[in-house]
Amino acid sequence: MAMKRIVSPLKRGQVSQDAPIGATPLTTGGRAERASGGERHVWPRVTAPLLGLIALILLPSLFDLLFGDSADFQLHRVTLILILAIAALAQNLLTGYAAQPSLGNAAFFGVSAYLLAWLNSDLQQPYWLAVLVALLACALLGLIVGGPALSVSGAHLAIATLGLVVLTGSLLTLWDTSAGRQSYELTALPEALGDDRVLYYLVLALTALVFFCAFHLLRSRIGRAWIALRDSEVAAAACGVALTRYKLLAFVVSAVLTGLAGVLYATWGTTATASMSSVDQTIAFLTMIVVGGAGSLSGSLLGALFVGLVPLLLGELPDPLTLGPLQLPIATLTTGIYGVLLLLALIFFPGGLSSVFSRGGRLVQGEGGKP
Amino acid sequence: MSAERQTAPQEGRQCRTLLEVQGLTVRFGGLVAVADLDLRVEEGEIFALVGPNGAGKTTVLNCISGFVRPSSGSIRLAGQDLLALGAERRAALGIGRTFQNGQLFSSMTVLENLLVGRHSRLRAGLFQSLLPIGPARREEAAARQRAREILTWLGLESYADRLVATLPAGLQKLIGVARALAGEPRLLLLDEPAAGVPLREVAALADQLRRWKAELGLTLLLIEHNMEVVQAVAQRICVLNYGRKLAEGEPATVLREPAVLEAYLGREEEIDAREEWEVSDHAAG
Repeated sequence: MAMKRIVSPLKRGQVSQDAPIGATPLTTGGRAERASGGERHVWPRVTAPLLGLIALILLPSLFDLLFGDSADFQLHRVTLILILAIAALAQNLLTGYAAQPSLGNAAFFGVSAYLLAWLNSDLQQPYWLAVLVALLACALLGLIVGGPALSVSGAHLAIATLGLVVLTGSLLTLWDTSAGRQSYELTALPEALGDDRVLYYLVLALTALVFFCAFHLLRSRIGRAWIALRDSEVAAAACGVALTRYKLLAFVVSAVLTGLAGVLYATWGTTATASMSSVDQTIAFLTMIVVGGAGSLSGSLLGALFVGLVPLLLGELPDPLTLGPLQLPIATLTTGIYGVLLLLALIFFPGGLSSVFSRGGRLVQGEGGKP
Repeated sequence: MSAERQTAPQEGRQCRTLLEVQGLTVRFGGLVAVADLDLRVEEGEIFALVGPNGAGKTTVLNCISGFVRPSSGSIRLAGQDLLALGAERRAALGIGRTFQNGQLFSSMTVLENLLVGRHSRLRAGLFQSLLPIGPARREEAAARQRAREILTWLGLESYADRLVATLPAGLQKLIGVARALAGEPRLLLLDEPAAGVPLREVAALADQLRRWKAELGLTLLLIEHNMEVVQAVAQRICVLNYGRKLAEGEPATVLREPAVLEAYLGREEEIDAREEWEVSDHAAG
C-alpha cells in the first residue's frame, strides 16, 4: 500500500501484520461452505423441555396412583398453573424481552373471558369460534391501545396501562350489574371440556405449542429486535429496528397470548369475573415474571408454578382468616403475599428463580432454552 | 490496492458524492452545536471529522444517522434526502454506525449482535418466525453464515458464541464494527474507533480501517481524536471548532494550518503538542 500521506513519525513502523486483531482475507459472501446447523448446544435445549413435556403427559396417570379418587381434582389445579404460564409468558415477552413496563395485560385477560362468555353462552356461538373472536378482539384492542400507550415510556406507560386495567374492570362490573349477575357463567361450554382430564390435555397442548413458538420467535429476527431494543434502543435503531413498530408488535402479541390465557381461565373456572381485570390480577402477572425471571422462558413457567401454588396453599385456610382482632379475606392475603414475594425477589434474586437455577449460565437466550 | 487511490477525491470531480451535508445547523435550546456546516463525502473515501471536545462532531454523526434532528440544512445519501427518514430507514438505505461507548447488546452473544446488525437485510415476519421451518429458517441460516464470515474476516470467529458482556473493552469496540458491517452498509460512520484502544494496537487499527475500505468497497466517515490514526488513514479531513468548519482538505495540509493548530493542539510546537496530546488521551482513556 502506497503511503502517500504523512504517517506520524512516532509509530510508523508498526503498521504491519503483527496485529493482534485478525487479518485473514475476506472470502466474499455467498460461496462459503454451509453452516453446520448453527447451534452446537441443541441437545440440552431440546431434551430438557422434551422430558418435561413427557412428564406432564404422564402426570394424570401418576396422579391416579397418588391421589386415587381425588386425582381429577388435583389435576384441575395443575391445569391452572399451565394457564397462568401462558399469561406469564405474555407478560414476559412484553416486559422481560421487549422491556415495556406495561401493566395492562389484565385488561385483555378479562375482556377475552367476557367475550367468550357472551358469544358462547348468550349468543350460542360455537366455542372455538368464540375463542377465535375473543383473541382477534384482543389483537385489535392491543393495536388500538398500544399505539398511544407506547408513545409514553417507563413509569408513564406503567401508570397509563394500569389505568386501562382499572377502567376495563369497572366496565366489566358495570356490565355484570346492569345484567343483574354476580359474574358471567359459561353455561354452554362443550361437554368434553367439563372433563378435567380433557381440559388438562387441551391446556397442556396449547401451553406447549405457545412455548414452542415463543422459543423460536425469540431466536428469530423479531425476538432479537425485542431484546436489542431492551439492551440499547439507539443501537437497535441504528441497526434498522423500527422501535415503535416492534414495541407495538410485542404489545399485540402479549395481548393475544393474555387473551388466550383469559379464555382458558374462564373455561377452567366456567365463569368470567370482573376481578380478572383488576390491580390484584396485574400484581399476580408481575409477580410471576419477577419471581420466575424476567427475560426467561423457564422463568415464566417457574413464576406460574410459584404464583399458582400460593392460592392453593392458602385455600387450605379458613376464609376469612381470623388473626386475633383481624379478619383477613384470603384474596387480600394472597395479593399481600405476592407483594412480599415481589419485594424479596427484587432484593435477593433480581434475575428471578430461573437465574438461581442456571448459575453462571447465559442470561437470556441460553436460559430460555429450557422452558 | 492501487484502485482505491484513483477514487481519491482530489483527483477530479468525476467521482460520485455519497454523502452530502448542506447548511447543517443544530441548536440545543440557545446553544448552537453545529453552525451552517457543509460536507461532501465521496464514494469510496475515508473522511475524518476532527476537532476538540464539544466541537459538535458527534452531533453531526447523530444527524446523519437520524438521532438528532437538525434545526436546518439538508443531508443526502447518494442524492436521496435523509431528513424525512427515521434512523431505522437510514440503516436500511446503507448507513451503518458504531458508538463511542459501544452500545452493544450486552445480553446477547457476539453472533447475535451481528444478526441484529443485519436486521434490515432480513425479511422474516411474525408468523414465519414462529416455527423452525420454511423460508424464515433458510434466511436465518444464511444470515448466520454471513455473520460468521464477517467475524472470521475480522479474526473474531472464536468469540462468536461468547456473551458480549464477558469480553474486554477493546474487543467490544471491534464487535461494534462487526455489527455495523453485518448490515452491509455503503457508508460506515465510526465514532472514535481508536478511543480506548491500547497504544500498541493503534497502528493495527489504522491498517484495519484501510483494509475494510479497500476490501468491502466502503466509504468511511470517522470521528477521531487520535491524530496518528487520522493521518494514517484519512484522505480528507474536516476540522470542527465550536460547531463551525475551521478547515478541510488533506490531513497533512490541514493539520499545519495555524488556525487548526491553535484550536486543536494549542499554541505549542506541532509535534510536541501532538505527542503530549496523545499521552494525555491515553491516560484519560
